[in-house]
Amino acid sequence: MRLFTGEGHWSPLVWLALAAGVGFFAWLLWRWGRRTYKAGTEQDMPFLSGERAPEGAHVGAPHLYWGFLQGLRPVLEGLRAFHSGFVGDYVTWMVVLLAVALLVVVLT
Amino acid sequence: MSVLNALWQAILVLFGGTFLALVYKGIDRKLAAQMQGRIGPPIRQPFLDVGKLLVKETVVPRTAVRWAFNLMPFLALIAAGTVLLYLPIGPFRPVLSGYGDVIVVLYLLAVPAVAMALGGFASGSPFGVVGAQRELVMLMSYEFPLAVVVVALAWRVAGLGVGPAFSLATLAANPLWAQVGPLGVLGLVLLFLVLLVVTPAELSKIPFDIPEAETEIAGGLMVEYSGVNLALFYLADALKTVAMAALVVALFIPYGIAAPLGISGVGGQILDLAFFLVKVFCVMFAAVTTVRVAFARLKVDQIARGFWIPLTAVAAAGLLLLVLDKAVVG
Repeated sequence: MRLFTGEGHWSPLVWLALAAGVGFFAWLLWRWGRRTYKAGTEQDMPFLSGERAPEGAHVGAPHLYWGFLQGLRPVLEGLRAFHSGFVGDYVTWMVVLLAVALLVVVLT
Repeated sequence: MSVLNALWQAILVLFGGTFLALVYKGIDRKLAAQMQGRIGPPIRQPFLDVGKLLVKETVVPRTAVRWAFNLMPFLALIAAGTVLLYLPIGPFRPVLSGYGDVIVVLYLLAVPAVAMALGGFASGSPFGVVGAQRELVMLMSYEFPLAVVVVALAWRVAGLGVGPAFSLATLAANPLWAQVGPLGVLGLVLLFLVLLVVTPAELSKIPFDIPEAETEIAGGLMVEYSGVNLALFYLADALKTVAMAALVVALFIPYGIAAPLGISGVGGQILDLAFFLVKVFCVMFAAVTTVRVAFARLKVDQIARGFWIPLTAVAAAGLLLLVLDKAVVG
């Protein structure tokens, strides 16, 4: 029930048992707290700085990685340049990288 | 170690850790206020905050995915609580030593961030969704240099042949500062600095607080959380702060003072435990309190670029110096 890789270890069952214990204490705290509210009133409307959300408005999934793409735009555009669409280019890259990997393996 | 013994230790670490986490949070807020020329709240304020949240209404927005919205605070607290059990506490080995290594710790430290992001998405609030998106971008950004730091340390410890290199007990018992030459020390300094920069990002503190950004997106992924759900996230944040600081201590400054002072036995253990708590506080003060007072919030693209390019380059330079050092020192 314990994975040992030689340099590290991991026992998911032990974690699950302890997670259940911590979860139980969290549940006790949750039960202890007040869980009621006035459902169906203004109280459970999503907060939008006092504005009414237009019907069907949402933040689209394409925006998910906006900051990441924006921050790394120069790198990503450089990588995009490699994607020429020619199979010969891709095979060349594969051969070059395999040669480098082989060289590293042989040297070490 | 018997199961009962381990259980008692786990309960002690969890409850003691929660208490200390709230005390540290109180000290952090007090010191930050003092640095800004304010009086600040009393140190017991985090306890009062949790107490207050427990008597507040726990509102679930009508647009929320209710089960996910309510489940995520639990997931965050479970991950932040259990991660403490894999970390060495001063002179004591991790409670779960042999059942999880530093890779497990890194994953568990990421879980509260993922839970908060899923909670933000599940809230159905535009502010919550924007905050959740920012949280995911941050997670993708700081995990890379963090992984380089951990792999560099484990690789060098593996070369010593002192036991499982990714085990935190092994890493803490074999600090590298005395094992490497000048190049290695320089590499370790770079890796230590990288980890200190990653720490406030891992904790979503200023200047990396873009997922919440109260003045900009009104609390972001936390905007719809209230009452006991918010209390659970609050506790998870406090526990994760201590866990992150304890990880920094275990990786880079695991030294005790009892042995150099010639104190052994229970007295030595108590002294080393007290010293450990001081070290955790110092890491928090340096990487969280001071930084959040001194800096303004960064933008999301600045964070992504900053972590992936310059900071990862610094971490890679640290790794390279360790490799060169091993080639020279052997």
